[in-house]
Amino acid sequence: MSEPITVCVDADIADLAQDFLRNRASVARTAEAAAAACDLPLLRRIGHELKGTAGSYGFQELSAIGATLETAAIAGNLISAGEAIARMGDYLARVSVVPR
Amino acid sequence: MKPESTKSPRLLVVDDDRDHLALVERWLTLAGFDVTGAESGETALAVLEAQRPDLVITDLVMTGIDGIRLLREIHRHDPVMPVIIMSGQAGIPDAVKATHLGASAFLTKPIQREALIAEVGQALSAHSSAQGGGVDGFAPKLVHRSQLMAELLGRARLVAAVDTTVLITGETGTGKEVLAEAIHAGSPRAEAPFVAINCSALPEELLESELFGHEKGAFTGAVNRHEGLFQAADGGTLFLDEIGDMPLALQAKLLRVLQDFKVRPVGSTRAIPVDVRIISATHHNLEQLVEQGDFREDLFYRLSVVPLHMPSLRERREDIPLLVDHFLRKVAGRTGRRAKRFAPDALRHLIGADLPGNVRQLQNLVEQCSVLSPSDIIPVALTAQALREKPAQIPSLDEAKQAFERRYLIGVLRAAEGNITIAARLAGRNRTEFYKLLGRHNLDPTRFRLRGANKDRRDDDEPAPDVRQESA
Repeated sequence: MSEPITVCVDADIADLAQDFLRNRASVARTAEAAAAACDLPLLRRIGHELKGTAGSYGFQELSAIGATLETAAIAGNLISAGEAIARMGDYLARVSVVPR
Repeated sequence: MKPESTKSPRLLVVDDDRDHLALVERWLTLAGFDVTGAESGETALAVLEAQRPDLVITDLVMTGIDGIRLLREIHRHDPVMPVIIMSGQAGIPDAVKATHLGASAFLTKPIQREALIAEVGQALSAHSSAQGGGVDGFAPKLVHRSQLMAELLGRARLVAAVDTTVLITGETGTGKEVLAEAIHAGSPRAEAPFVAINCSALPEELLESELFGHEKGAFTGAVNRHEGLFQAADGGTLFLDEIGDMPLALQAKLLRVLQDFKVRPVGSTRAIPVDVRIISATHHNLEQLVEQGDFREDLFYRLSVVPLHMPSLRERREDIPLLVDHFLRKVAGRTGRRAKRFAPDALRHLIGADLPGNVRQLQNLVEQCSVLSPSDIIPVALTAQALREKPAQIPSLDEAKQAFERRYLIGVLRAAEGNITIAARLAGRNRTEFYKLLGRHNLDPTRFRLRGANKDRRDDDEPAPDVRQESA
């Protein structure tokens, strides 16, 4: 397994950031199912929301993955979308929140 | 960064991404705002039915009612509510559209905490400055957003600081006394009294006694010594309302006071020094009264060192939605109930209404409708009833064009005495086109021909198209 990722977030939103990451696990599963079903509109929406919300919480890398997923879905590129979903799963497995 | 006011501004945040909504709600709550969250545009509209936030923040892309539709709906009911749009797409067309529709700000996701709080503060501050008064809290009661009022208040604010006489002109009900109070409040005399008197409300003897005071026994009924309003306003401001109605004899006495700032009470031989700033007001044209000999010219120049003109409400109709909102909130504050709202067509009715009593009439009307309306939304029928007449609606551009075209055609027909060939030539149209125009306006050219000249003057042999009889 690769190195763990730690992200510092404001202490007063740390609980919400933990909840956000927990909720992404089910979103990642939904994205996998959408990719398997070639559901590009759903993939686009998942990518779009991930890009915005992860960025607002301070998870910049996850936000970039969301942007890639959205772009791939718009382009109809399921291979690139699949790679983004895999990166999302990998990121979620390694990330942890550190309150500051 | 906590809002300064003791009562936290109420915000409604709308986002169908639950995690993002939770984050924005938390940020704003921690910043001291009273926040309500809604997970869809539909829920937001339901919330808005029940409560009136000070500002709405909404996501742009949502399933169902999206941010733009929500913005439109909000402004249909409350044209001045500040709305901030958030979007995951930094698309310029969306931002332009949102701004064009009246969004206060457009934020791109990911959202920065500080940027969000700064935008909210800015939008609330812009809203509150539009809600009441001009720059730096001057004249908070003079609710406006019109340029006309902004310019007037800018001048009044400058005048406030200088200890000079001010003459405020304007129609009845425009808020002349409110402006005078604002000038006093913005002046170095603010801590001293502001004393107002309506010069048209009292008979001459009583007005003299009220202004300058009287000694005991100065006249029948003067059982006690009475200190006049000049002395009561010492150190402060004396507001002489309806100065144009002051009798000429009193005008002379007032002029003397303004020359040496000493008042001599009725029945007294002693002159008492006073330190008073005079602000006067009138709905009359004082220059005209001077010309007619009904007002002293020398007093006019003494009083009107700085003239200020309060515009009528019809000159600043764009302020009506703000004023209506302000008065509705005032009624709600007084009754302790939730503020009612005017239905969109009722508000449009008010904006187009003939309100000769100006802001005072509008305030009475809003209060009356608010009290009489059985529901929270004040209907147009009640508004029209309160106006007691069919309001003079602002016509649409098409209606105005049609009205102009009809008046123009009548003028041309009169000039041509009903002769189609001449009339068409004057209008720069051929006969067929001209007949069509007449038909569209139901105008019969024969009615414009001079009596007895019909057959002689008619040079158009062609049969006219089917033109209906003009009823005018």
